Amino acid sequence: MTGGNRDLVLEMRDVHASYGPFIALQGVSLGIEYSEIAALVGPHGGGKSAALKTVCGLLPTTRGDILFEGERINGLPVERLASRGIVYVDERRLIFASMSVMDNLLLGAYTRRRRAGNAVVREDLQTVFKLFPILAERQKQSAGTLSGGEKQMLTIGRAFMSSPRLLLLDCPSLRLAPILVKRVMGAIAELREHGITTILVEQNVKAVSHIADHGYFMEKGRVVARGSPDELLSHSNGSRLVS
Amino acid sequence: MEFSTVLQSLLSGLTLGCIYAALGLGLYVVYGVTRVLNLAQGEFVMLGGMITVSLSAFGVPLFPAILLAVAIVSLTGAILYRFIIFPARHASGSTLAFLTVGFAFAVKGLTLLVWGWEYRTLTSFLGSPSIHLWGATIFGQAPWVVGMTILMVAGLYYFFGRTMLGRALRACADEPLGAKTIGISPARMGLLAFVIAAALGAVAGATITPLTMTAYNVGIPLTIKGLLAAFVGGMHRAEGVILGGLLLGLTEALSAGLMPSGYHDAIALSILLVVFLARPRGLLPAHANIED
Repeated sequence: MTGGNRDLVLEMRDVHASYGPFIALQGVSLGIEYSEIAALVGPHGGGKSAALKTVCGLLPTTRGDILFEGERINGLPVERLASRGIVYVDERRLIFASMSVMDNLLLGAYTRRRRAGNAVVREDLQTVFKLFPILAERQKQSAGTLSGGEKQMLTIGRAFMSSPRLLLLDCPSLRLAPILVKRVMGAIAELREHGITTILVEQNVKAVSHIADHGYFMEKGRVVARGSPDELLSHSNGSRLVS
Repeated sequence: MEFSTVLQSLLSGLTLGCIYAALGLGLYVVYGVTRVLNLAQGEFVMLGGMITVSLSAFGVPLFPAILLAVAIVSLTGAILYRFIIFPARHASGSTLAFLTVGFAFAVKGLTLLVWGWEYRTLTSFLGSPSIHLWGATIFGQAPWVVGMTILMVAGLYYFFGRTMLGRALRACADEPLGAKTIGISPARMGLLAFVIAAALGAVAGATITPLTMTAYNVGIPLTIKGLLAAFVGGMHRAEGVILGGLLLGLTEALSAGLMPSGYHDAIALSILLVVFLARPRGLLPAHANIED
């Protein structure tokens, strides 16, 4: 099915989804424009991560449509969506622990290395090292021995190597010290310069208020407010959100 | 005790150890990528031997016969994955292991139908039945078995360490969801793992047949030896599996050669049990993954 709004990279229309008997999403509709950073914020259990998981194919929808660049993508497997440019970064930082930092990054470009060519992959590698200089220092180190913050940088760097058109980041600041949160958020803001559209899930509205263009406040599986980060911040204060 | 007796036992142990290591490596490749304990690995070895023997009997030169056997057994591995493991991929590990046992029995039955119950063998690859070395005598095929294992290990190291496809397989072993999120299909990699394991099994089968002979019923005992090697060495690292295989082979040969007959199996298994109890997670430590 086609026919979505071509100005939007992603459109969710009345999307419902469940984790077994537990309803996760109840009619979520939203639209994300090209090269913007959109935040999904709200309390724990509000449906933010579930929304990301329906987009990347991890959580099947029970109703509604998800359109990526105008094409319906419901039901496609995660790996096929990744090859099409929708790259999901899980909050658990799913690095390849037995491999070096460099191998992790190169694997990010696995599906496009032949198409893109070695020169482009090398160039992207340099971009990742500019974004996260610590990864250049640790490129030969086993990824399993990195700290939590470094692992987060590695997963974002690896996702960048996949050349995503839509990057889905699930709680990138989780369990990070404030200084690292700042660094990671700074890097996410820089990704916009490379034409990457980003959807960011955060419980903490303040953490994303400096980088997000706009956002959605989710509660009980529904979008209950949308607007600028400042508007969401006032909404979150009103609904006792931790900030 | 004479030097030649000890040397004899050591050389026999090395040969046996290489056979067990080759078996264990097949198990390791499949388990590493798919987390399936493939209890049909010994059948791949048996089929590799049987097909090579038959093709040789039809006048196909030895090395083309081995290559054909590898191709046919690899196809068998692909069938096992595509039609049995993949449809049941969401089942528990023990269910998947039982499915491979079912496949092993099916292969065993079909082999009995096609080839009968007779033991079959190949002549040693270079034709010489034995080699004499400082008073010890080893089978002429033994250096081929050792060479095959060394080549197998070197090939796997190159493949998993230097090629992107090998790294993608390892990625699925490390973190299947992480691999999916960058476009690597664990299903495709699972198929490849079964094909590689079947091919390794077929090469091992063709190489060990001049030494051990083959028949429809050798698969399951071979699987058990491979499992022992893999469990003692640790399924998480190829080096551990190789060490486990060598330890098993050497323990068996030394206890058979140097201990009173009748006790050697008990002694070998007791030693392995002690090693297993001392290092239940394998001989080598797992790769580190520091939690946040």
